[in-house]
Amino acid sequence: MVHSLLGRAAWVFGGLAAAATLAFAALVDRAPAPPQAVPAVREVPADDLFAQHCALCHEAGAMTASLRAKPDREGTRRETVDFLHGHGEASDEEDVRIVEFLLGTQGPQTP
Amino acid sequence: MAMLLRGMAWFGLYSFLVLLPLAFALWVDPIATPRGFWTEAATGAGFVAFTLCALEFSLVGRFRAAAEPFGIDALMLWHRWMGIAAAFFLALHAGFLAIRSGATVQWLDPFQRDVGRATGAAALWLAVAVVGNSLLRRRLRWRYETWQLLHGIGALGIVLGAAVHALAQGSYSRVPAVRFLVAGYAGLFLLLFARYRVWRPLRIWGHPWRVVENREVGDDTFLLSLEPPPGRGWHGFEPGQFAWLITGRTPFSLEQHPITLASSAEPSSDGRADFAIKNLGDWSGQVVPALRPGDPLWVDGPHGSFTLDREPGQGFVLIAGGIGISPMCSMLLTLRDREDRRPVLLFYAAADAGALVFRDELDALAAEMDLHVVYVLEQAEPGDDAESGRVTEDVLRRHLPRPYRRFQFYVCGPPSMMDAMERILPELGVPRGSIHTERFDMV
Repeated sequence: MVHSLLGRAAWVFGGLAAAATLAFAALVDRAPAPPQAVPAVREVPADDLFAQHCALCHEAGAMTASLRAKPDREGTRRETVDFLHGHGEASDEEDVRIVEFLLGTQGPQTP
Repeated sequence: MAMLLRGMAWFGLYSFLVLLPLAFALWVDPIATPRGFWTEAATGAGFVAFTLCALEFSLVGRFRAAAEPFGIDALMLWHRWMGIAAAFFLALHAGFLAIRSGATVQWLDPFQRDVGRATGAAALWLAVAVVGNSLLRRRLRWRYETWQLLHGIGALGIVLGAAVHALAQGSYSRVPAVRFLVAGYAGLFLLLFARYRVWRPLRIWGHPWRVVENREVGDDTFLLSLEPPPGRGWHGFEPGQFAWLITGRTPFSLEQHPITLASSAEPSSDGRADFAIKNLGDWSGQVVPALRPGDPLWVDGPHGSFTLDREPGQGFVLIAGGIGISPMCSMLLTLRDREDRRPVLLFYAAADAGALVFRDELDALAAEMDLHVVYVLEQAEPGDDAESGRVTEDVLRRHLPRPYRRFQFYVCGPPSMMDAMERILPELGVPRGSIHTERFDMV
């Protein structure tokens, strides 16, 4: 008799797992704290900014290797920051931090 | 009551293990800045999909302690449902990421250079393939053994691919404890896989059973009598239980099929066990008829909770269709050998009189014990002494004795009959807890 109940139980279990997933997302994706508590962009680790805005589609190692291979470090920095202004959802200040991170001008040398 | 508590404890442990990585990720939460709801929902769906996949083997790994409260067939059905759920959560994982960042076809390329993303894409495709070929095996006309091999390889690929993906790509995996947890789940899966595919066959390799007799008992059905290896016989089994019969050169063979015992569960001097196997065209039609006395094969069992030893009842109603008569034979022979005086009513459904097996044995049993047999034939002829048609509510009402609500009901037969009985019996006032069924046609 347990069989006819199993299908329904599986739907309930799947629904609860989906609810847990959404609850996880809601809890971990906290609403921004009051302004005084928001860390300045400078305080956020650059690798976190990369993980937040770039890592879904780009691999840090490959990006770093590509950017650091170019001889004109300052020119590369400027070009990449300009490109990022119209790409993705990061703020201008965050774009600069990410590029500096990838070029190794701050933060870990080998992300 | 104790069995119910055990069942609840096992289900609680299973639920805990499914949700543990999600809760742990929430607790460590290494992301300093919000990444957006859909990104986190994708992460959560990925964790759930991974743990569901990693725990799939625990459901079908033939663990007696875990299977007893539910029945192995119920665990297999749950395994099937959770496999579908895992594929759904994997799809949600990819879908939520697409909502957040814009879908790119490149993500779905399992041959891309980035290992983290390639393994994730491979796990997704494998999940779709494994679930798809399980749902469509009969329509695709795949041999059971071929399906089983590909199912196992696919499952291995999904869990390992998802683990590598989580470790290489996951933002939460930057935390060593999360890495350890992900690796632990993958390790648990490998351990269960090795236990099932390596340790268990190794343990029985040197102790094959031997065919004593293999004779056709009608309707393309063979009664296979097996003798245990010296000193390795079962100390007993419960009437209605089954065992996996493994044929081939070694117990590593993929030719493993769950077959119900048809003999009495009361201990016999030679320890023989009988299995009734109907020719269904595959292993049962090609390998089984060719078995000869003296041939070795391996027996993994007994298993199963479809047995009349666990429920007290004033009497029993057995409803069998086709080869579903096999466990009923075991139950009846056992009741006879125990000199159990409780009344038994057997409904035995078949296409026609020629499709009935064990008819002489059943008629002989009816003379030895308080047994009444009702044959139900789809094409009944005059003189068949049978009900015509199928086992319906009317047929049941005509024959059920007055105190039937205090009887235990056992149903084994084709899916359509099982579905009908699970609907009709409660309508007749039979308590749901008194209705016992067993199914093994998951794929």
